[in-house]
Amino acid sequence: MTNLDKANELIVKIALLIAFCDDEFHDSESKIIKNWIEKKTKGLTEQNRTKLKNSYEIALEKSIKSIKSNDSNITDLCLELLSLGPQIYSFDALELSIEIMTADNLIHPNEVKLIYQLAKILKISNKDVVEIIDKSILGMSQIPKNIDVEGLLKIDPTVSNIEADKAFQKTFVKWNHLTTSASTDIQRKISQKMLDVTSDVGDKYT
Amino acid sequence: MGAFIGIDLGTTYSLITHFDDSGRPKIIEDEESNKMTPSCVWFNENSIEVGKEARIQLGFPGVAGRFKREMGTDYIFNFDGNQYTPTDLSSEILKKLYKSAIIKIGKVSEAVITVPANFSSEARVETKKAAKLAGIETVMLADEPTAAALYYAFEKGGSLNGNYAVYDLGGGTFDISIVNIKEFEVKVLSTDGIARLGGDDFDQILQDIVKKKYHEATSEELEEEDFTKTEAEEYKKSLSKRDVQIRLNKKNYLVTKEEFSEAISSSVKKTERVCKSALAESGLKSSDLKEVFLVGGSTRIPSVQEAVKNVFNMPPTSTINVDEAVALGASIYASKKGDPAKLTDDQLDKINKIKVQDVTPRYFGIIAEEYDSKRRKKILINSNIIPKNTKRPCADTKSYFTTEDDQTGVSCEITSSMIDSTATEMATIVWKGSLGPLPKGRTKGQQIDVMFKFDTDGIMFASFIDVSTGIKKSIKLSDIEEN
Repeated sequence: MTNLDKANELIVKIALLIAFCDDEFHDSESKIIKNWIEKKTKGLTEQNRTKLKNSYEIALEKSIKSIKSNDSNITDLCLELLSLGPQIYSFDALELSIEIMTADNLIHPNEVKLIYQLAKILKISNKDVVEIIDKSILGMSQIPKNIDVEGLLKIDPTVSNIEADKAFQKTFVKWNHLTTSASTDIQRKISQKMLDVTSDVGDKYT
Repeated sequence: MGAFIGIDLGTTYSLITHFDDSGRPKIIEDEESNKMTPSCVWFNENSIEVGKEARIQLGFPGVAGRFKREMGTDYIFNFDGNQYTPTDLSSEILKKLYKSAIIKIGKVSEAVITVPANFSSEARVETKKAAKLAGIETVMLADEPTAAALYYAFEKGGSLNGNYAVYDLGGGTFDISIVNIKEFEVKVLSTDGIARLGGDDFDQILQDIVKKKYHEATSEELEEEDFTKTEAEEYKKSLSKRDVQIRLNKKNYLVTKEEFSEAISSSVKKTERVCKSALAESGLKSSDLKEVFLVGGSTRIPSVQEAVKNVFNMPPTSTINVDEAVALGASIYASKKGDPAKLTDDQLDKINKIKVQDVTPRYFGIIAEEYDSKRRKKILINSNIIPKNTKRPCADTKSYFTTEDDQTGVSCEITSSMIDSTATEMATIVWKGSLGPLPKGRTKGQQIDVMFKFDTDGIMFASFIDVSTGIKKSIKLSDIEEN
């Protein structure tokens, strides 16, 4: 097995941990992982493709079992991924995990927390995380429900109201502008929802 | 002599004005003698009613209102098996207004239609299309708060000198502009807004309050036609002054001023955030402002005025008619931008003093390919060339390079966006084309210069140039952007 194959297996396991954050593995999440595997094996010979797909799918099954038995640890998985080398693996893991986070049109606090934890271990900057999250939110097929805005902005009880307000102001401006300049109609509607939620939740810090 | 008209094509009401021969902006009343024509269209059997009659019917089948908010979207209105776009409906309003103008002043030389500062590129294009459908041949667009600032400068007779904010909360949109005015010279420093926030939302909120009270009292649902948005709008006006009793099915429902203020507070706070953002973009502090001018009917609401006071640390000024400022400013703008040979001596005397320094309303850039070293692959990015709020006229050139050997063409996509981001999702593609054919057999890395230029009227020119051969693609973007 090459480093790339090992990395891809680890990425699937990490993404699964995100998927199980809310204690459920939704069909939409399963579909995203399967599509990702499909994409990663595209262009290979039929024999290699089948072999790899099988190995990823076995990894998927094993991971589901180990997550259910509380036997999977995000730190260990990330450190193993980092040990394999290129940063592209880390970005792949984060991008797939964020796609999983937004797959069910909910942005659950546990998922957000784990995403930031993951990014920290994988040494990916908050700026990059926010960019990937924004892209993923804009890529949703429906208007999101239950969005943990405070989690997305990393607002915790130690943050002062002034600092929290600054973070909300910056995010408010971004989503407000996207209500008119995002590429598609659905993206503009999603931006409107993000704007409304950001504004409502942010009011308590003004 | 020519006639110069200004049109405030509003979400709930529209107005038309002209710059008269003596050099004064004046409202032109519609055929029913209304200064403000409701932006409503009623498909009534074989006829189309526009304005007051249609507004009375709003909420009933066959009546369209508040369609400005859908300009530039895929939204379709269906009436009696026929489909209408927001552009079609807007053109009906413009037809009515334009007809009134022709009856009153004859042939029109130049028309300016105002649009919200935060209006999307598509919505701006559709507004121009609506004007063409209505038979208005020469039309320019102007940002609503810029037109209002121009009117304030004009009306104050050259007495203004300093930095000012124009807070414009209308029926459907909110706009804020930070401007510098020196006598009759208006320089826009920054502009921002919220595309979907205005009196219409407050009417909806009042409807919701009443529906809830009705349900609590009767355990029944209140139907839309029992308390329409038009009725809510009328009660909302009273709520600016006093508590109201709303009579429904022989019973009164009390809505207090405080209750209403609380219900709209979340929306009003959004305007505060946008004001802070516009102020920051202008590079000023609230203490640098001399006054805050109010524009738009929703600024009559006391809690809105209170919010303005909070954010700018000063009470706002509303000495002029807040409903008419944008439309009146638009006719001044039309005269300023029109052919001077068509102005009377009195008009020229007034117009020559006026200067408007506008800014670019958004970022403008192109889609480019870039190697992402973190992801080890080529990605598409939005590469901005002209920043938002750049003083017009302006020009800038950026160099790009071909990415393939033997590349015989370059895809050219011009973007507009409200934020400075490289993410393609954050930008709208406003023009698509290609540069080529380019010579075969060249290695990658051939320099392609992209030049963007805005003239004083806001017309944008773009050129894509293959530097080694001089092969060029030039575009005038007057049809996709505001002027």
